[in-house]
Amino acid sequence: MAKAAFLRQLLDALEEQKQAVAATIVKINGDYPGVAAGNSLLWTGEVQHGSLGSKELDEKVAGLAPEVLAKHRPVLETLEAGNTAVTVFLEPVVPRPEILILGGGHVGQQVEAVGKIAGYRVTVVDDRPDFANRALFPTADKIICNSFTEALKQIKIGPMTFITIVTRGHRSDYECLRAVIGSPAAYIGMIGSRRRAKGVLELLEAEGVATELLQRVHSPIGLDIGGETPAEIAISILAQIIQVYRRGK
Amino acid sequence: MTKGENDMDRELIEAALALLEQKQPCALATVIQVKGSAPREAGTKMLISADGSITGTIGGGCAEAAVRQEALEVIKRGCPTIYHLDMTADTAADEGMVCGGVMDVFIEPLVALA
Repeated sequence: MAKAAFLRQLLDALEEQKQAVAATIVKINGDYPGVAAGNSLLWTGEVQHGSLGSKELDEKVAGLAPEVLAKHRPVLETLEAGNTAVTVFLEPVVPRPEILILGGGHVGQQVEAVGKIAGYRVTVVDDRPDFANRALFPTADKIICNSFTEALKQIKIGPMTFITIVTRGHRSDYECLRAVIGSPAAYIGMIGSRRRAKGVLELLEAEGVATELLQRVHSPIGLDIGGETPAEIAISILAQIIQVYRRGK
Repeated sequence: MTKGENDMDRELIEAALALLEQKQPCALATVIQVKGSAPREAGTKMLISADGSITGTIGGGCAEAAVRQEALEVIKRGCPTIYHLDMTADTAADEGMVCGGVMDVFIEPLVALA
């Protein structure tokens, strides 16, 4: 069924954090063969999945889509198919930014709390059941209890993923950073003193990881506001994530 | 960035797809236009099952109840409609509804009652 295929594509776009525009016919004044209210298509830039029922309409949607995406706002447009006026609802598919917290310790717990307040999706990973559970993370969207490397094999990291590496020690920090350094994540931050972080970065550099990639890592993590407690540090991390999300730097 | 602003609810789409694949009668409601002060903005979605249960919210209260009722009709009829909600009416004020806007909601059957 066309609608199921459309919803599956839509879900894929959301999971893969692809930028897309969904278009659905909501009204037709008159009759046009193949064109009916409820017809949907998904525009992802290179490809259009599905069809509104007329090539002419699909092309018009492709013409409007980039602007819908740029403005981040849905619009209602009246388009013409032959002499028939067709009202189409176009909406940007913008995945919600997701914070991936690697490490469920004191800082991880506060990052989860602050991240949820700010409206982000939050996923928490820790390899210790005592640190990856619902009691500690009441509002997390997802809690994964597994080794970091195994968990990171299964998690989709995209351009809307913000990664905070806050594990219990530099060994795990190293494993996590190694697993995500080549990912398209929007942000990678790693906790630790300047010295400890430097050690991890040097280790990866020695393994042949490109310097440009390592320079992307925010470490020491968070904006420098002098935070001391886990909550203060979490706020400085969120402030940095918001800055990257909103300003792109 | 509050939930519902410019982001699509992945869980709701997942739920819609699941119902569709299981051929469970349901309808999808999408706010397509808002004028004045309305509870939710364009793009907000709600999934309504034939048993009346809902996933997501388009703002709660009377508006949501009305959309839910209309969606049940859409599931029976099997064809989509645009439902126009006027929350500027005196009745809305009498009911103590906080919003004074107008909202158009597109309601489409994903699976109609056979």
